[in-house]
Amino acid sequence: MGNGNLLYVLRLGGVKILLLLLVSMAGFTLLHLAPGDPLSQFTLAPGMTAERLAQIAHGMGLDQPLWRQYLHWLHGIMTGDWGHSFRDQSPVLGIIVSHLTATIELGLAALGISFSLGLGMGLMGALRAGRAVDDVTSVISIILFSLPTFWLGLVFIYIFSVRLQWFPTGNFSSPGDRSIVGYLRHLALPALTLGLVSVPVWSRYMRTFAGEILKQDQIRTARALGLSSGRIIVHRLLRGALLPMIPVAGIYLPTLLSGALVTETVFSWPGIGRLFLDSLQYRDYPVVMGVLMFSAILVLVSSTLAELLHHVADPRLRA
Amino acid sequence: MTVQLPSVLRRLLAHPRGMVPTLYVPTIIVLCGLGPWLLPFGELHVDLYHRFLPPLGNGHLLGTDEIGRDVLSRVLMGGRVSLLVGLVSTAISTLIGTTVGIVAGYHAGLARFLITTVIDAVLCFPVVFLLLTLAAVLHPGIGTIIGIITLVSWMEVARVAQSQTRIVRRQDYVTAVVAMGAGDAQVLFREILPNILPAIIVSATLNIARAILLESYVSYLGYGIQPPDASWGNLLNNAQEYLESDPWLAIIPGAVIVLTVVMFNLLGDALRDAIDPSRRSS
Repeated sequence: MGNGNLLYVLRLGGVKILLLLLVSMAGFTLLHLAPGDPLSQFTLAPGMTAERLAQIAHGMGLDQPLWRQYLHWLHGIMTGDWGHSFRDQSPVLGIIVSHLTATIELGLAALGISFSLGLGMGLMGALRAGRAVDDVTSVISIILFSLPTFWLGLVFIYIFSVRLQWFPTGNFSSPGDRSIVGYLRHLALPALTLGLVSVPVWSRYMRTFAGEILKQDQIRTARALGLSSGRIIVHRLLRGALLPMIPVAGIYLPTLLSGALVTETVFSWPGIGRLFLDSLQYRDYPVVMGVLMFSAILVLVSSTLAELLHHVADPRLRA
Repeated sequence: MTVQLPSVLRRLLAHPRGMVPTLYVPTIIVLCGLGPWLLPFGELHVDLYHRFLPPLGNGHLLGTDEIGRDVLSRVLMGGRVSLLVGLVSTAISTLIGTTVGIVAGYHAGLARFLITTVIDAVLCFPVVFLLLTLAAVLHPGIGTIIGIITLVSWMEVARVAQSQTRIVRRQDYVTAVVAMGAGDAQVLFREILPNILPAIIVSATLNIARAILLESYVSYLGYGIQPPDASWGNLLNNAQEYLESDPWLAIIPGAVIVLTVVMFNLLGDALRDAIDPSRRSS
């Protein structure tokens, strides 16, 4: 991450776009060579003839050479026509957008949990460096980092839904749950699961950055001048340590998306992660490619923005 | 910085945070390796009269699953696959990553420029989506899983190798060796490689943890190791169905994954501190 040079950030952005193109090409080729032809859903339909099948293939553009299909697809991606789902013919972009809200809500709730816990744990470790608290927080962060998200979800469902019956086991869309309370009860466990597994992303960097700041002279001076340690934390430490945390947000988003993929599956949460897995299972390739591209673009834009923001916010990088 | 193996081992065993994983890792590898010879029940031995036995039930230490297979046997056999995937994919990705990293670190210029930017860019991608697409499309099996996990995990090692090589390259003694007329090969293999090796080993250890975790994700979601073969991830495949009545079917295999991944991560951290004790105080 380290390099905040503006030229580097822009260059990296350029390479990411190239890479995105490469990934899209590879993904497109792969999905078209994959077993389970998009036509297979029609072949078993009653009264299907070879003629009609060819017609459908033509209608879907499947009779053209692969590179033309790719260019057609790429053109569509850039003009907002992301193709149509094999399953119900609805537009891919529309499907993704309709699943996005659920993922954003889950992501924000998880962000709140992981950011506050991570910040707290990192600060505690840095302020008590080398002591028991430091050891305990770093071991906790290693454990959280090592938890398979799906398993933590299953354990939470078992403890809080099956045994204690505090929360529902999932199935957010069940009728009668549209009230705020019902909604929050559904959100609690997935958000906690996703939030906890991503705590280490924040806590480790916070521990490092805060540790570095504490070693600086200004903190020692402030302490010598008799400022209470509480004020030191607020004024110097947080400001100094939060600045280099900005690009960490760029690292956080891929973690969050990958985590959401699994969390949404375990809790039947109707977001884009579950959409992706469902589509993979149904070999609904336009949607699979759509989500793949969408998440990659999202991560690419946000990580580049985070790096640029860091560049703007930290005057030392502009020298 | 020269590294003496005995002193590293001594420092590793001095703290419980180093000692526990140093003992655990070989133990679990041996247990899983010897699995089939240790157990009275075959991992595929189906016993419909003893389904869903709780742990400690009727001679089954960890109970039995939905068709009466011994859970302990399944966990050990699954461990063979999961550890194999973790170790082999890490070995390959470490080899690739180290080579790429050294090339980028040793030669300033176009190669470094290209490699470092590509690594930084790849690290920004939501890897799990790509991993699952590949796993879903390709023929499932151990080889495929090892291949795709390798594909998404060489970058971290490459980054470490690259930055370490640059640091070592700038040291006075390396400059001296170069000034005395040593060739690239001599500098690389006799000066650079031995000096960056500790950092590589640490990175590889952490990589094993990540690979085991990735395998468990892919197999849990049904695109990895296929039943009836066991892996730590696919043991949890159906576990959610039986969560209400037989929670240990989910809890036990997951706990083994967590324990093992934690231990590899702790071992990586402890190795880092043991190799370079000055880090410990910082």
